[in-house]
Amino acid sequence: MKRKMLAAREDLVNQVSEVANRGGLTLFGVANEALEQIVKLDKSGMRISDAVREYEVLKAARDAGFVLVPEGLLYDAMDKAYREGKTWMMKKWVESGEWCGKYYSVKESEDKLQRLFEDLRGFFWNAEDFELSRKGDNAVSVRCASARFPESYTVFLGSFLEGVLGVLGYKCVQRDVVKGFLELEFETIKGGSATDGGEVR
Amino acid sequence: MVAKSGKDRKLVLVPNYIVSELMEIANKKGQPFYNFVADTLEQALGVYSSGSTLKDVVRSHEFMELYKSSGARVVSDDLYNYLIDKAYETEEKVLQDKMLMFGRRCGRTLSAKYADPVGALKDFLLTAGWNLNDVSISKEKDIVSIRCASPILSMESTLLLFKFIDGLMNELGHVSQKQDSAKGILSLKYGKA
Repeated sequence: MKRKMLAAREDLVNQVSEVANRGGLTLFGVANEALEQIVKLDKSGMRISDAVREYEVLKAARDAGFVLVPEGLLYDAMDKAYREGKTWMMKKWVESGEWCGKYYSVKESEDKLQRLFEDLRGFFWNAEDFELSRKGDNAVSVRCASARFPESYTVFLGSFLEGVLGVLGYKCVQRDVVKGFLELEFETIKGGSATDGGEVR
Repeated sequence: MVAKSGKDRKLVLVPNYIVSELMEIANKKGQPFYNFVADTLEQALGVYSSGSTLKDVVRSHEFMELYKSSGARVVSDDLYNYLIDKAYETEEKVLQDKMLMFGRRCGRTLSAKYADPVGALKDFLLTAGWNLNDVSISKEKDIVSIRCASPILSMESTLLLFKFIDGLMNELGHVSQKQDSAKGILSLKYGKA
């Protein structure tokens, strides 16, 4: 195989060399694997920064107890649960959201709410629109929409988000939920501090 | 493998074809080649420092694209298990058929994208995050043995996982020859169809 010398920043080459040493590998092996993967990513139309971010989101999803499920199975099972035990099921989704919110509240991050929403946007890729807007220091609104969401999933997702934000110190003060669209308005709970994940409920 | 080149630069030996392709990408981005290589190595170092490799990142990206295009969605495992437990009693067949079809869709894409789809199967299953902490796949002549284990998978979820793998393997040209299952454990053997 023909080879060429590639000029790179000395500090970076030294760091790659350290990585290689730690893993019992060669600089040639590690640098080439990395560069080869960049070429592969480019061929699939993806930037390395996006792929790394997606990888982190997926890892966070797995760590936070999320799994992949076929859409048809998920929606059918939820429709059934919605018909037969809506209130009970909504409570389960709130609990699941609370767990997720708690998980993020103890994670190291400068802006826990923003970090959480960036990851949630990654988890819920089936949503065509998933936005978090801050309204001053004490209020946030969340909007989520997808034409494919059945009513059951939209309602349960709303409950999940209420659970998530509840743990982070926000109370839902207004909800607009219809099939495929939800918009929730939250305000900080009086006496509690938002996003510390502490005893605010 | 490495040589000094001017101030603050080092030369690294890289196969010709990679250099050419990297140059093409840098040109496409309108970025000076030297800067592009620096950015790339910086990103790669970030990944390595978190204990992963760029190969893991790329493979995960490929598998996620495959899952997404096959209709996968994300839900908390707690809710998934609850929904399955609730619906399984009355709709066992429907749920199993859906999982079988999902497996088929994934298998079809996997076989179209990978020269050795059975070889990619272990990482593919682990990417889905079904609480599987042990997946082993071995191939001897035409027989593929698959073993999956998870201490927290319910019986219903275990059987649905079997349907998923069954659909997937069928699309890869294999049929079930032996199936042992217990709560959280699957031991499967597949032969050529």
